[in-house]
Amino acid sequence: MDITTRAPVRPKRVFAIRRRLFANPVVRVLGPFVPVVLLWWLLAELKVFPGAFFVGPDTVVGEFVELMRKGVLPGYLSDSLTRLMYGVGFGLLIGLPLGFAIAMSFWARRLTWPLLLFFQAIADIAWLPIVIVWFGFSLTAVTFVIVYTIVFPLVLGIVAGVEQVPHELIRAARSLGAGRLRVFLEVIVPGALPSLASGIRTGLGYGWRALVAAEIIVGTSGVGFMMFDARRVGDVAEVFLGMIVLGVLWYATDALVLAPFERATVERWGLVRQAEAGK
Amino acid sequence: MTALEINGLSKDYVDTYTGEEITAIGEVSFTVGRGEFVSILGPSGCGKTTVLNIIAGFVKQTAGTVKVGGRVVDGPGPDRGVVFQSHALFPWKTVLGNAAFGLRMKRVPPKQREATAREYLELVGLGGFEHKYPHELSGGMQQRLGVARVLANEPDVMLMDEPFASIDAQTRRKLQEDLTRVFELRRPTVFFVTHDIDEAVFLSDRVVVLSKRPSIVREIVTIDLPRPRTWRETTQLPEFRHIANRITELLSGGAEDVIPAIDAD
Repeated sequence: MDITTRAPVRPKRVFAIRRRLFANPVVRVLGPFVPVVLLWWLLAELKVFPGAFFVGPDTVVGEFVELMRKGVLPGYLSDSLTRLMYGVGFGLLIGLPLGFAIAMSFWARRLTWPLLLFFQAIADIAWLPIVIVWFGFSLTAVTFVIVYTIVFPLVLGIVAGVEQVPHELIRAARSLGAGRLRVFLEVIVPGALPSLASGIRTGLGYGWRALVAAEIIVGTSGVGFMMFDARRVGDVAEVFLGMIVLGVLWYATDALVLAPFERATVERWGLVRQAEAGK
Repeated sequence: MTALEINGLSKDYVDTYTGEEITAIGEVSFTVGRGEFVSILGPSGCGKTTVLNIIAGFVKQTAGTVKVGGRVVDGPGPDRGVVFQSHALFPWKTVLGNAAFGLRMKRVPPKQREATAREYLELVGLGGFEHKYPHELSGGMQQRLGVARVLANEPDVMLMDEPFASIDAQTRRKLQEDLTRVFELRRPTVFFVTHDIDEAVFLSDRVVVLSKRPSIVREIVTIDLPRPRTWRETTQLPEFRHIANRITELLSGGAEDVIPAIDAD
């Protein structure tokens, strides 16, 4: 008895340490980046690529401090985030009602489906030339493109979500006295939520990319503009910094907004987390 | 007092593949008295569940009427609560939220509906689980909640569509006994669809036996077994076996899918 229980003690302790290590959120989030940064640093130190094209982490950190001190980065960052917020706000405002309207009505779906597929096929950036003609180099032009990219995945997500709501749940609600509006609010909306959440996630991801692209082309400020402008003057460190900022911001959006929302709803209800598949 | 009156019900449908017209239900009539437990049995594909779906208002009949408390009904309504084989609980609502759903639709004030919901949860043996979510319950417990959700709404008739078919045999016995206990205590009106002869005989006051498609009522068997019933004692009664065997005979011939009564001779 004693011998048999003693044997696995060591591996167990190793497991326990590993588990405790990964339970630490800082380790869990930053851990995977350690080898990437190390490799980056090594490549830069060994001068595998010419220094003018490839800078090390230390240079980028220096650049970061410099741009923060001058207030350039905070300014551009807040410009980008403001645009994204406008875009997402209007995108949700249009996409949510549109999505549910199309999902709930057989005829609306019939009539709009070919249109949806057609316009979805026109890449967001492909709209930029005409949007610039219409709205000039303005916030409206950028917002238009972001709204455009967000609306489609959102609408498609809602339609798919509404279709996934089990028919029996609607029947159950009806035979418990729920009218059409109640069935919609109490059954269809929460039932469509997993797919809706994954639509928002996809839409936000596309929107974020569209924003950077739009800023590069339309930009007079913003992270995208900063990167492209830095390229013009040959400041590689600033380009690198811009890329890192984009990654960090997306990660933060996911960790601070999307993931908690899904934990509070979809996961708590024991529904399949379809959003995971889209990641 | 008649709670549920089914008159000349029939259902035709067009097979979407072959395009031919099929008569699922030929002509079905029966009544369920207030506080009575009536089961419907029939060979597989005879349209038992279709009968329930028509009564519930989920499916439109081709001909015939469904009356609840003397009124002709059309479309689903809270006077006919349904317990589904798939439980059909709302995953985003707690146990209490599920049980109180019907009362909320009726705009019963929060305090009162919570008290009623708790009472029925207690009755079906879910006391203490109020704040769990359905996915945290076992299959048997989920169906207890399915029953409590309907009973708390105090419908004229509770419609049960093979409610224990997807639950393991051991738990099923317990659920059948507990359903009997709740029925004997509260005397709701129950219409119960099953393909299990022993289950029908054990639970019911009367059993409607359907023929195969196009189905008609072959016979309505009265189950005159004493209550309270328990699985151990009731199934040992000679009358139980006698009735179960008789129903098995009624169903034999195209009834491969019916679980025969034990000892059928």
